[in-house]
Amino acid sequence: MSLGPLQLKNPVLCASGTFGTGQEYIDYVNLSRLGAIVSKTVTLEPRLGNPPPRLAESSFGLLNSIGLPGPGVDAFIAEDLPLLRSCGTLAIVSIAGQKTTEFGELARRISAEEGIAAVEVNISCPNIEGGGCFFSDDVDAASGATRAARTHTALPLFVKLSPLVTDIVEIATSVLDAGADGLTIANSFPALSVDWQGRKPRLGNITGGLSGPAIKPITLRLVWLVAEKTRAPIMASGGIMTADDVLEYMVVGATACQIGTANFLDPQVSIKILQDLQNILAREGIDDINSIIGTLKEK
Amino acid sequence: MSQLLAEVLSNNLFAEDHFRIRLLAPEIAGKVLPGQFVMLRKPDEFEPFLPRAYSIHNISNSGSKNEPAAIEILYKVVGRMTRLLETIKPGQRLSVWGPLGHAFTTGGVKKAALVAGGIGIAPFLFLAKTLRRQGVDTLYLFFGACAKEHLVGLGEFEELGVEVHPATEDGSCGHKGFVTEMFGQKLTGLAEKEFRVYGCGPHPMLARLAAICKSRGLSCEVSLEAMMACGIGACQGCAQAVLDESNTGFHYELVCKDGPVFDAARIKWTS
Ligand SMILES: Cc1cc2nc3c(=O)[nH]c(=O)nc-3n(C[C@H](O)[C@H](O)[C@H](O)COP(=O)(O)OP(=O)(O)OC[C@H]3O[C@@H](n4cnc5c(N)ncnc54)[C@H](O)[C@@H]3O)c2cc1C
Ligand SMILES: Cc1cc2nc3c(=O)[nH]c(=O)nc-3n(C[C@H](O)[C@H](O)[C@H](O)COP(=O)(O)O)c2cc1C
Ligand code: FES
Repeated sequence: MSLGPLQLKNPVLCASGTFGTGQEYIDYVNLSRLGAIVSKTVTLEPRLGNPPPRLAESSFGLLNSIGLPGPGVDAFIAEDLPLLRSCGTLAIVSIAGQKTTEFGELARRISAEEGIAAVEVNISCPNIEGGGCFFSDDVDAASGATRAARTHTALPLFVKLSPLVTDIVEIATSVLDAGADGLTIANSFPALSVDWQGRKPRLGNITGGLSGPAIKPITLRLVWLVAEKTRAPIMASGGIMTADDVLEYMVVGATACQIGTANFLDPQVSIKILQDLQNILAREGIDDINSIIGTLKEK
Repeated sequence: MSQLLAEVLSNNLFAEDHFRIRLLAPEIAGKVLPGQFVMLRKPDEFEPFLPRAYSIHNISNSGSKNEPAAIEILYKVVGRMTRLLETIKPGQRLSVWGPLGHAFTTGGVKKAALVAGGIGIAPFLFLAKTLRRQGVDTLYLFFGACAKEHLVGLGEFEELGVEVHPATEDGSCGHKGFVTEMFGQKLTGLAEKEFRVYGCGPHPMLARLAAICKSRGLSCEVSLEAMMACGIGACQGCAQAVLDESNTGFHYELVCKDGPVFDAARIKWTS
């Protein structure tokens, strides 16, 4: 199937920050069967990440305030990228800068390496300075970051949007105009978990990003809104736990789906979803999975 | 590492609020080392949402085969997962994956002291058995809990020939007060180089234990806890601050992948 300029063998991908370099799952998953793996977001400089606790549970969801820890782009290229490449499937590298120019620099560094299928520009991490909203909720900043990356890479370029914006169609349109080949919709939702007895936030960084089935209906609407208005290739990300979830996102207009939090509840879930998807399509007599993309009947 | 839907062989009340659950998991039982853990979840259950980490308490044979096929977990009922586990019946299946993390190091150990606080006793039965099998003949257990009822499983350590020193906060058994206090006092006669200390329990207790061992020049390994999501090093959620080699700064390591067992001297203790 085609996701803009990218050819995928199937629509089941694993989401940034939830699948390591893929190698963490090697004992559980035949990695080469996945449509693609998106790397943990890479930053220019090494980052420690946020103080613990970095995780809190909620009903049907998870809050995280990981804070993009990582070794920086040099060590990523030297150590993590070979692992990601050795998974035997498409490697999508997620990047995030703190300044517009850093997006360009990261795109340039990543594009100089072999074996990378696409770049995902993460303008929507809720866990970094300034709430990460600087790039995600401002049309100029979002398109600026996109343009900076676009100028420095010929690779397929996807921009991962924040779900918490006033007008997601406006942001989507601006990053597409700035040269993005497609979109990932969306990141986790800024959220708070509180231990009232201790009068304390449960996360070390106070707030975090909410993910998991709790957010699925909200993200589903966002994908639908953007797909209707832009016809851009979309990767959906938000609470995908089952093959039915994948199909729901495809019906509202996504081409591919990223499995995130679900990997934590069952390390083999990505392959199970893929298998279930094939079974459902066979059962329903659907020969070409592309034929269901954007088929929501609104009347 | 393997993931399986493991059949529950038994799930019995062992002491007040403490249960032992036995799972048929030959792939894990055959490989696991003391201090390693598994991730556990009831399939299709979303309350609690995340799986939980449990240390291996014991491994045992099951059926006619003469090799380990079952893993045992000792758990204390404190919250959502453990209240759910309490209701699980033999024959039901649980999703379990492992063995995970780094084990206690046991090579070259001649004498050892195990220092446990509360449910921190869980990994020590397997560790004590392993040390015994390796010919460690001098083994002490310092075990602290709030009250006598929570000093679970002392008999099994005694059967192994472990010298047991209990402590309770209410004084209902053994030393009245913290286990680390008692350990510090009794240690005076014991301290020597070949002595290895292992700790497992609440963070403040382990911080105290680390300080005592440091001042006496004893090497100490501790098993730490952290909130976990994946258990396999993928989410970076289980960060623990660890001192840089230069001792001037710190960095984060992952309790699930780099631990749960750490050299106590490397940890940046917060209390
Ligand atoms: C590597 C590792 C190994 C572990 N091994 C074991 C083990 O062998 N046996 C075991 O029982 N647990 C073990 N745990 C802890 C286990 O993962 C769960 O955190 C624990 O069972 C509580 O889960 P819950 O869902 O029942 O409680 P939750 O609903 O998550 O918590 C309810 C409340 O109980 C509190 N709480 C958590 N633990 C305790 C405690 N020990 N005493 C009193 N209050 C507590 C929490 O702070 C929270 O406020 C281990 C954890 C790690 C990281
Ligand atoms: C622990 C954790 C870490 C994450 N790290 C990143 C990251 O580094 N970069 C990124 O773009 N998204 C990150 N995300 C967001 C996920 O990729 C995904 O978009 C989001 O969780 C929603 O999907 P889900 O509900 O299926 O998890 C992270 C999510 C979680 C739970
Ligand atoms: S629990 Fe996910 S990295 Fe440790």
